[in-house]
Amino acid sequence: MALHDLLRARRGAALVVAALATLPALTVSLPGDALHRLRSDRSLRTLTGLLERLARGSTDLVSASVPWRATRPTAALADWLAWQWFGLEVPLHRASLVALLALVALGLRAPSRDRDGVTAALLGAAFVAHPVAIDAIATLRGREALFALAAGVVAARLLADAARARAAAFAALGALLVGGASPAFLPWFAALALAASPHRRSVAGGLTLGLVAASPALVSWPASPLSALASTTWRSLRVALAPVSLGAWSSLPPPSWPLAALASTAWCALASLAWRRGARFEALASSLLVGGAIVDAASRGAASGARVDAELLAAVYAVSTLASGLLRGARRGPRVALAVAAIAATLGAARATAWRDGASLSRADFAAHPHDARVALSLAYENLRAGRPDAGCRAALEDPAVRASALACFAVEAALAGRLEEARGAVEAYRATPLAERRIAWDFGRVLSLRPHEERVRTRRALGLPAGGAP
Amino acid sequence: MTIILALAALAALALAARSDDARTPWRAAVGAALVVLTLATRAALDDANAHRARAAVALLALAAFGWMAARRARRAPLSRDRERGAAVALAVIAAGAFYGFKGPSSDQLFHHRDTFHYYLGSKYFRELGYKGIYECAAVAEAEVRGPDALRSRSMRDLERDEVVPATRALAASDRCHRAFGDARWSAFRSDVACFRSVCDDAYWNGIQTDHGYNPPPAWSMLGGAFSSLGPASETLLAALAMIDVGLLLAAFAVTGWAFGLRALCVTVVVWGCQEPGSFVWLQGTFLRQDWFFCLALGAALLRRRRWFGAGAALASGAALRAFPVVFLVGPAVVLARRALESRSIPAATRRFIAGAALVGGMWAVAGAFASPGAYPAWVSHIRQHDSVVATNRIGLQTLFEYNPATRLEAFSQNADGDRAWLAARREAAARTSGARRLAALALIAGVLLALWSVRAPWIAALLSASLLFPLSSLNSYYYIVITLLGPLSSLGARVERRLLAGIAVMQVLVVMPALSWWWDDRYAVITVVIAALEAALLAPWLTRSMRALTRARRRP
Repeated sequence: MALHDLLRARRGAALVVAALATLPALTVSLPGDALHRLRSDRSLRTLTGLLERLARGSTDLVSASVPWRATRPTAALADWLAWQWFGLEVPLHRASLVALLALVALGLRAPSRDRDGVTAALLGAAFVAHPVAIDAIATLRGREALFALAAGVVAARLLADAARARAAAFAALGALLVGGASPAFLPWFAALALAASPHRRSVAGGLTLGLVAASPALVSWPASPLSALASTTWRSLRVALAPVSLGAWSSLPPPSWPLAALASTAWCALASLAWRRGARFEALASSLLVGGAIVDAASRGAASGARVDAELLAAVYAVSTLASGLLRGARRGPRVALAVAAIAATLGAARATAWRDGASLSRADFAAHPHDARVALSLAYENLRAGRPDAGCRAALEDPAVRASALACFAVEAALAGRLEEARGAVEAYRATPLAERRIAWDFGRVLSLRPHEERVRTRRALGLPAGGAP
Repeated sequence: MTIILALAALAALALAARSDDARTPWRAAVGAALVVLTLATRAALDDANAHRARAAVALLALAAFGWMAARRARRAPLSRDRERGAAVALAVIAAGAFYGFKGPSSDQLFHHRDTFHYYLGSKYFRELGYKGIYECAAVAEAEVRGPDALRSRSMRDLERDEVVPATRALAASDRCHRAFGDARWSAFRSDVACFRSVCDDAYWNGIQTDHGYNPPPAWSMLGGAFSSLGPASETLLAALAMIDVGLLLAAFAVTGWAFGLRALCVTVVVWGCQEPGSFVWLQGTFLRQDWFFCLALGAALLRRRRWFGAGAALASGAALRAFPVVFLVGPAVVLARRALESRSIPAATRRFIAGAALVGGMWAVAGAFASPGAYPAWVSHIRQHDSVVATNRIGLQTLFEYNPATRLEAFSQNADGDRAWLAARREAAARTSGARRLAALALIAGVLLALWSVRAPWIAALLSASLLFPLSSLNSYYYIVITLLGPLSSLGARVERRLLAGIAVMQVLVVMPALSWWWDDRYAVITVVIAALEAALLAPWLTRSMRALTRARRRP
């Protein structure tokens, strides 16, 4: 009876498969997930640091010729929130990305006009301050453009449909927020707002986007800051115009302008269909995106980056399409979700097979970067976890950037090896390191948590550490 | 194992989602319990990840309950069974989140620091009183481990409220021996030895510099009845720690009985995700949830219109821990208003007063009888204790004392940083005492004004929790009292949303090290969130009262 019920519960089964498919993408790490930007910036640790970052970002925004995302105030806030909320936990960064995209997918389905405007505003705000734009998902290139496009579709749809002043105001606010983070989409909104009928809005939007995409190839822009803006716009669009450039490394040349314009128009048409025809077309669009990404990845033969892009996108769309299907009760939703989830599962399994565990990952990383103290420390942690303390902690002591972490690691390693004097010396040295350093290391609990409970208690006692918190 | 559990959890949840009958909540509960077990089989979460897990659960609950309410508002609600299933699943997961998705480890079966104070303090209350616990414990330790054991550690002199070398206690050896007598001293010494054997040096030193044993004599009588069951041993102390688990379960049971399953689930979610009374403080404690149970029972009995029992339960809470006396204020205001309107004292009011007076009086008399002269000593001691500055205090005073320029971090590189921080906080408290009193008066007036519009005594009792904020500066773990606001969710989606949003915001902020790494920052943030939450909950009634006042003024 239970099995019969389970088989009938298609949505439930789809949920199970999608969750399983997503797991490898969320739990398996890659060398690219090193979170270098978060690790190296101490201003992420404190409120004062946030204020400094915001001030610096504001200055860069108005005066510098490098409007790259990391220097913008929004990016400063996003990075700060990313470290504050998720620390250096890679799976959490990835999970938050999936959750945010699922939110966008749910937003695409918001049925009530009154709430549409609020949804658009919330999505815009979420995007502007979203804390996932960091190195954890750096392999997904152009994520901000992807977000902007998804949230932009929502906001534009709402702007087009808004009947009441309040809804229109909220939609406009959402659009502005999205546009503020990714200026390339502002002309699109302008075109949508000016065109009268929904049909004409779609056409106007598509054409505007195509023109914006094509413009860097057509026009030789004058010097900064306009050229910088164009460059950023192009970089964003180049990645957003899936499947043309998804998975492309930033060093690859951009696609030709006719191809870019064609792709942007196709994307726009798909988005228009999605909001005018319901779930079927969105599912189709998702499948095309994912399929295109996979073909693109396969044709490039890229090792990890492109495959991860495709896999992550597949997982994301599995979740978002499933969410759409569940919400609307569309019959095709679960089926499409199952199909997409199967792709994600395959790719996830491939990834999991390629990188079986953290230790092999760290060894591979160490082989590639033998002189990087951070990498050496990471390998030492893995060896500590496996009960094979090595000299990695001691080696990492030389690098001042990771000194506190290395001292914590070394103290535990020495205590486990019975060298208590050395271990206590390391604890004293740890206590003498600046607070900012200790915050990065978090505390001894992080290192000790790698060992079994009894050993943990014994080591704490041997080193005179309190039961919780930093020494 | 993890994969099998995860598959089973997903299957159970899928079945729950599919079914739409009385089995749905049960299936959801099983599925959620399996989710908790799945997470528990993974590597134990460290502190940071446990906070993140609680934040995630709080946000999930906010979204799920909000979504269900939105569907009801759109007249397309989920079926009753599905709603109950979702609520039950969230409650089970939140309960797992309270424990950080892990069971207590072997050294956490009882809370060493808490149990040291409450077990020994109540068992030897007549000999130790409120001032002798550290002194006599040091003498006992010196006898068991030799005087050298005291040379490297400190203790708090509770008479002067200052940390002194533990060797000073040796001068009080005769006094301790005289107070105990040979047989009792021998028992005390072996009990202290038991506690010492399970603590490392640093932790033991921390215990001995804490702020002493502080409950009222009535609690000492009750606690003494349990702590005198036998000599201290890890088994007995772990068994005594289970009393609190039972009291919590009983509190939730009476909440469900009086307010229904949905309100119970919201209450459990609030309990599981709140921060001030978290696992760190309350895991394995000894009889620390008695007042909580009494208040939950009192609110439930008020809801069920059992007036005598309600008065008795609320008065018991007040007798056992003093500060819950504010929960009597709300019902008193409502019943007084009724009496004024009807120009007579209704039977309900008479029964409530009789219950409160009779049982409250019984506790007081029994406490005084069990330990003659203890009440004046307690009053004097608690006055001194109230002036103690600690990082985890919550209340209006915390807001006035907190100053970004004199945060704990600012003194952390000094050798004597803690002392400097304490001095700065005391100085801030003295400097702002006038403004603080004025603000407290305004807040109390606001709360009373809001209570004047409340019709139901149970609502008034729960909203009275807001009086704690201006009136007291409690240690954080007593603010588990915000869990008792859970039943207010039965008043509608708006209250439910505000409550869950408050808890979610609290956890999201606590996750951020910039706001919570230093405990004075953390509890300042929590204080602000609690103030905002209480204001948001009181707002509808306050607005109503203000409108009534405006109308009354306009009348000729």
